[in-house]
Amino acid sequence: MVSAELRALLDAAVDAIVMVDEQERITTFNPAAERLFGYSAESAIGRDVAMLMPEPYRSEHHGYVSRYMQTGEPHIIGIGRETLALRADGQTFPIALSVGEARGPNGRRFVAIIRDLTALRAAEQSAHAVELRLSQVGRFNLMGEMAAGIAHEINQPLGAIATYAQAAKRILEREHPEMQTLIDVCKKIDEQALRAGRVLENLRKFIRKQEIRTEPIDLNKVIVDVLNLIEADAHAEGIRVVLRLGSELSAVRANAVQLQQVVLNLTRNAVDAMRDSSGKERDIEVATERTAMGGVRISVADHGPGVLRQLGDNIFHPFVTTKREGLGVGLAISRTIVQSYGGSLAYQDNPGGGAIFVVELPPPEESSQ
Amino acid sequence: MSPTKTPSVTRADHRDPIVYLVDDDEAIRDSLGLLLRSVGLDCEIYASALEFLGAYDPNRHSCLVADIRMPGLSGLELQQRLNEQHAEVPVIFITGHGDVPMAVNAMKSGASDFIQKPFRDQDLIDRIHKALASDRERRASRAQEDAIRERISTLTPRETEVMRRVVRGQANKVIAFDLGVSQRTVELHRARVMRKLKMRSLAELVSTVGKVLGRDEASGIAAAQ
Repeated sequence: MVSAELRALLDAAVDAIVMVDEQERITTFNPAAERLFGYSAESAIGRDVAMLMPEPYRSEHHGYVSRYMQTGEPHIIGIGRETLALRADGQTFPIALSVGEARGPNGRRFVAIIRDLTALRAAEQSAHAVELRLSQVGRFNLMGEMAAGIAHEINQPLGAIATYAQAAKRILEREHPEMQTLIDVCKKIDEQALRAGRVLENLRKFIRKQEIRTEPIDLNKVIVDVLNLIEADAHAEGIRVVLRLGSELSAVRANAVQLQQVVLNLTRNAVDAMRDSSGKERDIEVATERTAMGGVRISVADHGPGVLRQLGDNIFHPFVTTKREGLGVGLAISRTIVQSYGGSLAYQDNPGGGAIFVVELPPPEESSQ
Repeated sequence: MSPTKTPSVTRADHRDPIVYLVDDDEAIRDSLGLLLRSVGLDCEIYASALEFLGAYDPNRHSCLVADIRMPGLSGLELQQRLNEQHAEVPVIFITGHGDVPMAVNAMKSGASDFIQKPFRDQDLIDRIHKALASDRERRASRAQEDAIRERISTLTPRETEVMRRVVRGQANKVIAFDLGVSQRTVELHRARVMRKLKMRSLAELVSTVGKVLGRDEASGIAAAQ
């Protein structure tokens, strides 16, 4: 079927090489492809190449091919791009894909050369993770400095209130307390309480002003960008991450770094929840889809013990935690972030056992102010 | 509100003691003023160190309560100004939580006490009473010294000379030789010095007059600098 020279070339290639006929059936599957995808050449040849693609790329793929056949307008041929691929065991992983075309006596053939980007992405993301952590540390330091200034601003009126109250007590202990003085003191205490309140109000305004810039972003990209971090957490516990990314999602107005923090927080919780559970199903599913209102939904589902009914919405309150070493702020912060985009974060029981946390974000026109 | 400055050098002032309060925060100084008046302490309130320095009456039996952290002249600088003016008013600094090193510096440059916010009212009142008591003692001893200075001024030049030598510990024989007079004459001068200064013993003369002369010498040196 192929010449000895071509066979040698295919065998020696470091990159996976997959050839496909006009019906999108696999005709060639080199040893590198076997290693990368976990299928043997015998089992792969003759099957639809879409099996190597996760959703939404799988559905999109058929559209691209039929359009190309009709119009001759290339979508990927000669361009190449980075995308996700699907392993036999259901794992998704990042790849660089380039596609060429050959016209021969048996009709058209497409050649796909696939390079595994897992290691590269891991390196990039560990750098990104450091950046993420640094940005958090930076924010905490700023908070520390601000806290010192605010402490003084609030201590002044509080000190005055305490002194007024102590003076009032002493005046009351006299035989003939002067009522007018006491009334004045009460008014002054009231004023100082309002003053302390104004300091806090200004602080709140200041924090709001600091609000992080939001822009229309592609939710799938946000998730793919932190996939390695999610997997690093999950694999350490022998947990598989299943991605189910929806197609044709509208962009949402959000801050990518913040949203990554939310996703990471939810997936970390999922991993933590499954750490001690001995259920058969050892996977967490991260899915995106369009909502009926045209917004976007992210759901993170695990097969852990789920959340006790009596905890209810309390799990979103600060300092409520079911973890021995948890602070109990992750869900509270995540919900605050999501709500700042006009969205919501809610809990559902997983029908298959476990928990599902669902983030819903409105379409951009609704959340933009 | 502003106290009348008495130009008189006499330190006998029988008016009630006064607490000078200096704080840049209106509510703090108003509430502290109310508290002090509620326990019967007279006070005068100033919004800045400079305002206080302009109104301060060194002849008044008093103490000063000041915030250590103020815009303009800080508490520490206020203490230095008071030192330059030889104003020995006891100063209690009110400090914030992180200001302890600053308070320690102030104490080193002569502040008498500090109190950390937040404080109990009784704690501040106790410290104020302690500061006023030390001011009263200081004033009493200064008044005594002034009385002695006045008596010294009634001595003749020769009597003054003999007094200085006696205080320095010279024997009558040495004084007589140095001044070229008889030992008997020195004895007569000495007796008149004891009578005029109302001293009952040599020991009292050496200790009290010695202190006054020492202080005058020290301030003379300070003034010359």
